[in-house]
Amino acid sequence: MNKGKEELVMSWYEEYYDDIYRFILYMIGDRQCCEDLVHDTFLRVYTAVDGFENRSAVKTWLFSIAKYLVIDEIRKRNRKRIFSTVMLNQEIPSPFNLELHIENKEFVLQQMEKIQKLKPNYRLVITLKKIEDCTTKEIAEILVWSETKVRKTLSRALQSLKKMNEVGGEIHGE
Amino acid sequence: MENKNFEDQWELLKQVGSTGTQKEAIRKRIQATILNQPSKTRGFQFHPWKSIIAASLLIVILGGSLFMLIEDNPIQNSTSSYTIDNDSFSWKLDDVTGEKAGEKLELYHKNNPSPFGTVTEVTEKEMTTTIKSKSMFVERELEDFPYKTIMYIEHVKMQDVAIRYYFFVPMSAEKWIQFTFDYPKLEYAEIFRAMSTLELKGKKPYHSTEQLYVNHGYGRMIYPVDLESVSITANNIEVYRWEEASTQSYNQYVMKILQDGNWNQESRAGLSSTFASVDGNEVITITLNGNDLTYEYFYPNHEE
Repeated sequence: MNKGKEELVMSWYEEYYDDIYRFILYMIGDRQCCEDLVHDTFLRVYTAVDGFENRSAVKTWLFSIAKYLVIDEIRKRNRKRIFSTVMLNQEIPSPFNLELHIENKEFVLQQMEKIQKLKPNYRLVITLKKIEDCTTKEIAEILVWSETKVRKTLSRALQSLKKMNEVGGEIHGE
Repeated sequence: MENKNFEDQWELLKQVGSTGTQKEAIRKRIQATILNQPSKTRGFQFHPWKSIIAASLLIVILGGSLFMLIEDNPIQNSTSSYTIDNDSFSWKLDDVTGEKAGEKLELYHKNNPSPFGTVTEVTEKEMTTTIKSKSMFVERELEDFPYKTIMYIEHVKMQDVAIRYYFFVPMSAEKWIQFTFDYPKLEYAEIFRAMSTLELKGKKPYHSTEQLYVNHGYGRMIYPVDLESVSITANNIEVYRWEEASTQSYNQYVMKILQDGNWNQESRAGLSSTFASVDGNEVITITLNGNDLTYEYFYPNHEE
């Protein structure tokens, strides 16, 4: 019974690891914590898989679990104020050849840093829509929002990011 | 997004990801955690008769303790005054020295100025506090070791320490000896060589007549416990010296791997066997040449 459960969860791990890893990395910003949260996400999936009723797609369900963990982590960090952009610069991995595409690497790092400065809801919706290619309906399901709220929040989040890129400044607060 | 087209740049950002090695490491961590949480998933079952036995045991234990207190039992006194120094224990691990650092003994290897481990005497309460306060990903009792040994693996992920082993050996009802070893400051083979050859002063060790096997880190493959590292390279080749190696011991080892249930034998030629993990993600060729035992790891489903 447990063996079958483990096999099922590990098959989801193989299939959705990249999506979950990237989502958490964009939300949290450092690789070490990202690895821990990926581990915790799939462990929660293992614990909760008996109650999964296939009413949502597996991917959507995995994102919902990861979302709770990243929000929890962001809250803890806000309390401890331990965010460090130095760590961010050191830790971000890149699958493409960095030596040949150093300009792209810098660009990616800059954008990741800017996304980190967005408020959590903006970060969530931008990552799910623009990085993970989720549909508005899927995002609504993951975040337990209405589709209208998803659209409005995404629009505001993109505006904020655009503004940051135009002025090179930061967007603060809720 | 600066001078580039706002929409096109998202494609670049989607390329951020992790390596196959990281994916494999997290997968192993998840599986190790799942493997070590059976008690949580099994749930609590209450049997009324157990409470009667527990109450009876409690009376016996309390009665015994009271009797020992009244009698001023010498064994109890000798264990409570146990202090750790270089003479308190020995093992078949060469070039190791211990230096006192407060209450604990720090372990150094050869001329390395950085300690790779510690030995400390702890109470049961201190042991519990340590276990609860660390990110322990593996908990296991090591069977047939010289003493009852409970092992934990802490996921440390510091610059020079990936994982930290904790071994707890009971000295008395209240006192435990805690050994810690930092990997990769000390290789897995040496860590288990130390614990499997441990002899504590004044406490007779048990010597198993059977070959013992252990897992290295979070890995699924079992290794003979009495190996000595010869070379471990980054390109997935590990070579060990196996003092007790013979055709018979190699055959027994192969049988043990197959009994483990995690591996299928893909091929065998003389004293070289190839095993594939049941999920197909790992392939290992194990070759015995004289006393040299070589492991070659392949990860067919991972792009590096």
